[in-house]
Amino acid sequence: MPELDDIALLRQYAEDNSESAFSMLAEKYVNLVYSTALRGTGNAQAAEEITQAVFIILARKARSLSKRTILSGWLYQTTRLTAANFLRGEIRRQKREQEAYMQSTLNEPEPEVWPQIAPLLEAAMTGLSEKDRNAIVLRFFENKSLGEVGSALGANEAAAKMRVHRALEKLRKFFSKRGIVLSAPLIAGAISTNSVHAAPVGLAVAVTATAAQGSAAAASTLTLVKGALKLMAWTKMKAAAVTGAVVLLTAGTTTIAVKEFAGHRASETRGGPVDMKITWIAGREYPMHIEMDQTASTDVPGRPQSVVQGVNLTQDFDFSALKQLDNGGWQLELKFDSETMDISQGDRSVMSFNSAQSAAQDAGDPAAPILRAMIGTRFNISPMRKAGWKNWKAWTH
Amino acid sequence: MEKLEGLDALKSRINAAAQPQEQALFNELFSEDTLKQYGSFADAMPNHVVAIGDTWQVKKDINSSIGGLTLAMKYTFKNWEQHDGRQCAHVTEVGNILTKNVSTATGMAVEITNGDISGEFWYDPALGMIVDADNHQNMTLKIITRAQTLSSQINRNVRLALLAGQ
Repeated sequence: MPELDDIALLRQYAEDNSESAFSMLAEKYVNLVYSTALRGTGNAQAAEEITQAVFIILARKARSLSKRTILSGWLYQTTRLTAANFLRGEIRRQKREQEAYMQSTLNEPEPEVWPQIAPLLEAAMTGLSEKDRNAIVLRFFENKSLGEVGSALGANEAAAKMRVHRALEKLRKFFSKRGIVLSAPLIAGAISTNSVHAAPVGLAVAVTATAAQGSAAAASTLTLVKGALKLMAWTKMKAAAVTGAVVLLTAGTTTIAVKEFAGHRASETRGGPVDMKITWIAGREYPMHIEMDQTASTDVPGRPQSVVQGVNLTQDFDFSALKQLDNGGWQLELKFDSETMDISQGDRSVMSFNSAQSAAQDAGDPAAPILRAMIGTRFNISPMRKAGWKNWKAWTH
Repeated sequence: MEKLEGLDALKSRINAAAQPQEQALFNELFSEDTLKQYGSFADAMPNHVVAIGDTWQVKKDINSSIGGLTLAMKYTFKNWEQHDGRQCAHVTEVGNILTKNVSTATGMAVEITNGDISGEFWYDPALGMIVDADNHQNMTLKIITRAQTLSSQINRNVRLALLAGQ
C-alpha cells in the first residue's frame, strides 16, 4: 500500500537518519502542502514558510506517527492547522477578504466552480470526520483510484466508493448552505483539477535541507512550528478529556430503560393498531450492529478557533435470550463480536482500532489490548422492567 | 463457556495493565451503566396497544461518570412502512437529555446545558423486535477543568440495526 510505504520512509528517516527517505516524501507531498497553505493564506511567501514549518513538524513527529497514519491526510491537516496558527490575529481581515472575494464571484455571470469553493474548502474539510477527510484527500487531492483509496483506508473498493460519495455529499451540503449550489461531480472535478498545483521550484529541496538536514530555519518559521506544535498538543489533551466524558452516552441515549408511561391518547386510527412488545425467543441469537459518528467542537478562552474532535465507533454484538424470569423479564447474554474505534483530535489520529485486524497491528496503540479483551466476553444480564438491573456477571470463553 | 469472574473483577484484571487514561476510557465504554443500555431498547416500547398517531413518553435517569443525567423522550407511532423488506411500525422520537447533578469524579465538571435528541425507529411485529433505529443528538456542554471554562458543541449520530438473517 502506498501509504504504508510513506510511513516506511518516515521510519527510515527516523531510525537511520535517511535524508533521501525524507527527500522522497518532501518531493511527493510538497505540492499538496504548499497548495493547501497558499489557499489558506493567499500569500505565496507565507505559504512557503508554512510548508517549511509543516515538514519540520513532520521530521519531529517521524517516530510517533502510527503506521496506520495516512500521511497525505496528516500533512493536509497539519498544514491547515499551521496556516490557522499563522493567521491568528488576522482572522477578521481574512474573513473580510473572503467575503469580498465571494461577492466578486457572485457578480460574475457564469462563475467558475473552483473560485467559488476554494476560499471555503478548508472550512468544509474541517467539518468532515478524519476518515471522510482522508478519503477526499486521497481520491481528489492525490487523484488515487477507488481501489487505492480503499487500500489506504483498510477497506474494499465498494466501501471506499461509499465513503467518498458520502464525504463528497457532505461537502456539497456545506457549500450549498453558503449559497454555492453545485452538483457533487462538479465539486469533485474542481477539487481534483485545482486543489494541488506545483510548488515553487526548489521548495522540496529547501524543506528537506531545513527539516531533515537541520539547516537553520528562519526565526519566524520556528515560531510557527512552536505555535503549531503547542496547538496540536493542546488539542490532543483536551479532546481526550471531552471524548472520555461523553462517549458513554452513545448507547444510553439511543436506547431507553425505565419506562414511565404518560399521555397516551386515542387518536384517529388509519391503520392496524399494534402491541409493540419485544419478543425474545429462548435460545435465539440477535446479532446487532451499532454505528456512532460524533463531532465535538470545543471553544476555549484564548484560542483563535474551535478544537474539533471526531469519534467514529462501530460495534457488532449479539444478544442471546437465555431464559424468561419469573418477573416477566428475560435473562440475556451480551457478547461483543467486533469493534472499530477511531478517535481524531484536530490534526491527528489519537486512536485507530479494528478488532478484525491482527493483534500484531495494534503495536503503538496502548488502548488496543483493552478493547480487544472485550471481544468474545459474554455478559450475563438479568434485567428488565419490573426486576431492574441486577445480578451482573461476566463470563468469558 | 467457563465462568470466570464478575464484571468488576474482569475490569480490575484489564485495568491492571492499563495506564490511567486508558483505564478511564475503558471504564467509560464498559461501565455497568453503559452496558445496561445495550439491552434496554425494549423499554422504548409503549406498554399497551397503540395506533397510528398515538404518542407515549419515557423518562429515565442515567448514571454516568459526569454525573446524573435525565433523559425525557416522546414517541409517536407515525405509520406502517416497508423497511428493508419488512412491514414495520415507524416510530419517531424527540426529546432531550440534561444534567441532573454534576459529578467531579473525573477531575472536571461537565454539564449538559442543552441536549436535543431526535430520531426514528422501525419495529417489526413479526419479529417482535426493533430492526433499525436512527438517533441524532445535539448537545452543548459546559466543561470546567483546571480553572478553565470550556464550551463544547457535540453532534452525534447513532444507528442501531438488527442484522439480516433474523
